[in-house]
Amino acid sequence: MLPLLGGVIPDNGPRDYLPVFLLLIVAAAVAASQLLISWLLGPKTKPNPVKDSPYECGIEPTGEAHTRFSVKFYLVAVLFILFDIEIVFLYPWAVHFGGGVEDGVVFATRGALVRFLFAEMLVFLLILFLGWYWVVKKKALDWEEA
Amino acid sequence: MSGWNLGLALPEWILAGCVLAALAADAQGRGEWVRRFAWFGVLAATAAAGLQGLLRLDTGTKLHAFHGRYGLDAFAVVFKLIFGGTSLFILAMSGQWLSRVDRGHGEFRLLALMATLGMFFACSIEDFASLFVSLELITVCFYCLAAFKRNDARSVEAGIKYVILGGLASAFLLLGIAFLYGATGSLEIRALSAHADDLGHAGASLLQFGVLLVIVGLAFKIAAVPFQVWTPDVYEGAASPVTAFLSMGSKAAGFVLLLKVVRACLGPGADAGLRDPDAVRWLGLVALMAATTLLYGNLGAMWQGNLKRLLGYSSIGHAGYALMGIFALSEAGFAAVVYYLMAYLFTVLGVFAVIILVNGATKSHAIDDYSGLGRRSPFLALVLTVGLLSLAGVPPLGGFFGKFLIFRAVVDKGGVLAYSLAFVGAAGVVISLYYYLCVVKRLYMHEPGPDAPATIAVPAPMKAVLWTCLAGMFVLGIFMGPFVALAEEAARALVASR
Repeated sequence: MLPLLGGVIPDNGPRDYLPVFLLLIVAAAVAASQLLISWLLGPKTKPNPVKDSPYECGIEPTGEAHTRFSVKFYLVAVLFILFDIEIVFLYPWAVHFGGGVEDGVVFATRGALVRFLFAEMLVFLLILFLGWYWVVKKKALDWEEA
Repeated sequence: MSGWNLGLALPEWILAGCVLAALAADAQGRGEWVRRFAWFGVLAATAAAGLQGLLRLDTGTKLHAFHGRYGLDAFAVVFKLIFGGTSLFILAMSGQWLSRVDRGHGEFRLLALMATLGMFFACSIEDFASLFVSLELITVCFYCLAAFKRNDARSVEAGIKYVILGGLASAFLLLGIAFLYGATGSLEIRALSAHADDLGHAGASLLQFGVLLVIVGLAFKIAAVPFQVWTPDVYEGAASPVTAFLSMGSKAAGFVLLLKVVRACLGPGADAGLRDPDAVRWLGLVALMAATTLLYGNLGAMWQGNLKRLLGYSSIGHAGYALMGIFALSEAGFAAVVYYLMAYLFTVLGVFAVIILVNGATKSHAIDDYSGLGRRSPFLALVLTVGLLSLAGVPPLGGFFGKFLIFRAVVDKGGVLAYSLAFVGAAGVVISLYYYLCVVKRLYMHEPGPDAPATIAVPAPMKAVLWTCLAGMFVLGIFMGPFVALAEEAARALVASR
């Protein structure tokens, strides 16, 4: 990669990361240049209360932006993350369950390995469902309950 | 090393089964069954671990399960017994405390049981993925337990502080594991051991950085400086049984994993013994960490007016002493750490049992409210006094002999660094005597306050805990022979495993 710079970066250095550093520099340059151009070209008015007020689709702002909302959202979000991540584990399992390709050779999973993989997933799902059962029984998903 | 060998993980199977059963029972609202499953799980798993040690392990053998991902040797068995004992004490201590709490009895025992499962796994892990999972299993349970009194602002503060700093430490640990995987191409701790020769070379920055980050992640769990800031606040805010569990279980789990990682950093060479310690470059770092940790803990504890906060600082100090044992990098040093944790088990849990009882009567943790306890409840004052003296390291108590073994291992090592560290450690002991004895003085030489409760009733399970801890402190200080042999056996197994 980038043979022109091959002599500059020592051989045992992190040469493969060079594009990343270049990208960082370009990103910083783009951001800085846009700020600079708008500062150079834009009209310069003094700040006033109307100008400083937050933009809410052109409608006059009402109330605080920091309103309190129910802690139940937090609980639901945490539960969502938990179960979502656990479901992610199903995908690699499903992809490899039937077989796969190793060294260019297609092979099918069979016999003891199928039974093992299947039992493994059953155990995983059992634990998952027990957790879900606990959550439901503890009324963590009941929105109305105080 | 190949093969599933599922039966080997019997203690963990028992605990995992009991966790699931207790979860189902708790969902049904049957708190009584959660209690039974928790007791049965911890008792049976501890007994199973002990029997495995007696029946299946010869001296120096290591058995593997899960295709080498799980190892069982004397080191694992000894620590499983320590963790099992800790959990039994916690279950016994929490009964009376839970009766004062209106809700969440099932959850408390469930979380304690899950944390125990994580601790048992931590003893047997053989690769970094399992290390992370077992550590998270412990720590996530402790996040919830720290915030257990959810209507109490202090407890919630403790929980949030612990969760944020703990999450940060986990991120360091994970990054370290990723670096190590990049450097060695394997997640097995054994693989780190095979690359240990490179640790001293300038070119192996990936490896060095990985080890450093893993040690940072584990240093958080044992509350070593500079990763200790959470300790006093969490210790003070969390409920007393949780603080007791945290100060013993979580800390010991951190040391189990730290010992395993440090052992791997020394490279293979089961027969040749440990490598020449001078070749280990990072030793100075461990010495610095040990010295600052024990000075910080002991100096910080001097100014505390709250007994739980004082114990939080003193627990930082004790992490420093145990780190001194790791600094020795010898079989004797590792054995000293194991023995130190054994003695710490009886000492710190005895002290916390008294704190739970006194707090039940006075609703306070202020040291001033312990005034005249010696007159009001002589037995509680006695246990507290003996416990504090053992923490300070006064003979003939367990804490003294643990410190003795650690100092001997460090001095035997020789060299300027070791002697200076031993000197700092000795200074730490003198400082700690001051603040422990200040508490003892308050127990016996101060008049009780006007509204102090008369005699504090001690229920039967608490009485059992107090007597066992008292006996344990004296036995470990006087009849130490079999326990030293056990600790040495564990250290030998740790050194022999590669």
